[in-house]
Amino acid sequence: MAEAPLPPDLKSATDQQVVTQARKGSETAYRELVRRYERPVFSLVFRMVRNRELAEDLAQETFIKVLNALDSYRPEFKFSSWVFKIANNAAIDHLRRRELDTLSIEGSPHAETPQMIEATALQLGERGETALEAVENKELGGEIERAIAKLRPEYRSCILLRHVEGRAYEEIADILNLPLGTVKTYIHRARNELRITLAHLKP
Amino acid sequence: MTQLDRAVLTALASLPTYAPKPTFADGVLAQVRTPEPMAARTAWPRLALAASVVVSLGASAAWSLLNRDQLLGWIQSFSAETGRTVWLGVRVVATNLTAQPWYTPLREFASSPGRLVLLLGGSLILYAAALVALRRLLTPPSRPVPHANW
Repeated sequence: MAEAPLPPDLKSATDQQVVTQARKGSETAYRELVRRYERPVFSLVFRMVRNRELAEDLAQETFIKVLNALDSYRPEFKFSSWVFKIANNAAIDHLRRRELDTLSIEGSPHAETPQMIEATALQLGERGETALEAVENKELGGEIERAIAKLRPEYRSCILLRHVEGRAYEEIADILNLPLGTVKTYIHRARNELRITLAHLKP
Repeated sequence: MTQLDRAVLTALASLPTYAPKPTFADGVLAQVRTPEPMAARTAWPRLALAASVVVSLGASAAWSLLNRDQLLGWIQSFSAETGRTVWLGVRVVATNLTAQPWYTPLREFASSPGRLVLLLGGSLILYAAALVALRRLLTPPSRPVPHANW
């Protein structure tokens, strides 16, 4: 199949066209791919792990994997799905490795004493707060960020991809390697949990 | 959908995106193995291939001119041997075919033009159906299969 002509400006080219250029060794194309996805990928990972430094590392690891494996990318799949899949897997793997300690607002599930629970709990609104925590301190946006943080990682991935990134159910199923029905269930449950958590905001 | 549901969905959709450090892209690219540009990557193998083709063709033409009689002898001997082998193969196939038990009834059936047309038409339909079936068997599933097992 003939390749579509490349627009003179790489910014208006499709992902597939940019990938083709990157495979040919164009550093500009590599940079363009990072420019397109650094914010959504970083935002997703940041909201998953809730730590800026760690999110930067995981997002960087994601892009390194993606760009080093461009030759194995198959153009019949959406490039964005591929990137989000790798980013989400990096975040989930990290959370599993850390056994959810990083994420638990209430403290580690393995903490046995009140001191250990306090030591492992995520302190929201503490001094030296991150950008995420600063947003959390603003009314509804902040309440929602906090409510999202309380969701199970699987629910969190689904709700973020659906309602923050605006991805279709089928794409989320591809990204998370889950059946479509499971994705719909997770999103439904996540919305229910968010509604319950945010019920006190009801006018 | 309740007012709270709507408010939650609206707020989710309007959550800000966060940007990594400004040096993020440089940090990524410093650790990526960027392939050599295509032109530089392919110039040497292409040149080498072109040179070897030219040298081979030249050597072959020179040898042919210097050894014309020997070459003609080889060609004649080869073509005669090939012709004999092909003819023998055709005869073997024809003999085997006519020795089959279904050959005589088939020839009798196809002895009238009408029945011959019927036979050819039936064979064509069967062939087309087999092609369609084979194509269906070989077509990959339409639903994309996730492939990045990171």
